[in-house]
Amino acid sequence: MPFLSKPIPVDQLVAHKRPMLMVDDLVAYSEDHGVVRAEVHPENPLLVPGSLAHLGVLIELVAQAAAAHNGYKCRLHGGGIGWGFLVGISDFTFEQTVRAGDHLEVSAEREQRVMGFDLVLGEVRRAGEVLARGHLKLMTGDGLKPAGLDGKQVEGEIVDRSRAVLLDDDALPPPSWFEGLASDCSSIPVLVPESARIVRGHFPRAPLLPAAYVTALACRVAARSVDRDLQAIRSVRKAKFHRPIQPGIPVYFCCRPLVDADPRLLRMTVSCNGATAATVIVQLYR
Amino acid sequence: MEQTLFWFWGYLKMGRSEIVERVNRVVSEEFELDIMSLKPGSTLYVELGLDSLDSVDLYAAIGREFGLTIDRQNDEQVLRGIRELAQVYDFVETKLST
Repeated sequence: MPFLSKPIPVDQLVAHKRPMLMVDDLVAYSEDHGVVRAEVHPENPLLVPGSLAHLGVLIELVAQAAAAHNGYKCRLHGGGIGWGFLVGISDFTFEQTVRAGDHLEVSAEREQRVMGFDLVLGEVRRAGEVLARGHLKLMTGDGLKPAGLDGKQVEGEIVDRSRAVLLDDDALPPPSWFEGLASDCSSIPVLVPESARIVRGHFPRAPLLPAAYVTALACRVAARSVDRDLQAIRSVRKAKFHRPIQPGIPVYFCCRPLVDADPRLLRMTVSCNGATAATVIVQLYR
Repeated sequence: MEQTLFWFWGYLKMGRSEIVERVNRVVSEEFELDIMSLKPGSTLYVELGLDSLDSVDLYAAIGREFGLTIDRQNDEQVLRGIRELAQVYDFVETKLST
């Protein structure tokens, strides 16, 4: 894959804005493959100290590398900046944690394009060491504007807003929320306001909860539900994002074993407005 | 010599029953469905409970399983019209024969 003679700043290629924009420059490009470089900034909204939300950072890095690749492709073909929305994850394995100050290389290779969706194999490396690797499914395009991105609220009654745990500058719920979890489902929703750092820049005028953040939350709830910490998470076996989640809406989490005989596999269901917004199958280390 | 060619042709030309078996295995593994419940007339979006995002995974997995490339112009129109498993078998059979 040819390296570009001059790295291209990613902020010219994607719709994300800082602090949610986590990658810096596109350094290599071919028709189906892009490589970006990224420095993990201390103000990264997914990198709350002690939260181990690096899982979300690693997924989001690959998603943004794919978006940068698509953005450059759109530019080469005379289009505007490219849109890219994470709609699925499969076999995304976490090998190492990521820390503020890390210098990373993130690769996104499009393996297939099926019915308007890109199936991307991504890898995050630090000085040659693989931190994470897995497949993402992205809805991409030039000028594409999926439903739910027009700034309107999703239809549905907003319930329990007053009971919700507000997640503002903390990207993950406080320990008390986890303590309040019922045996397998959260009875207390979380609510991320539009002012939260996690939403700012994702995206301007069309705020959405990043799917990577929702996944990180689901992983944390899954680990907690079986009395493990987030380091017990081996991989996201599969995740599907059925509909975008907008800020300001209470979100519920529910955890069930995927297979009764195998306690390492947990199915998380994330719902809002009375409908399933995402399902995440989490695999734990033994 | 003729016998060898016949065997080789048989090896290259995958039979319908093998296609059915492999497609069913992919569907079962990909969506955690009981393989015994999969019938040619099973409807993808009602009986098997798939949605449009699942269908992308299904056709990607089938592409990997059979080494097929989904052609954007020719195949996607066909795929969008698929409602039953039997039509998936037909699609794979057609792709393998061309």
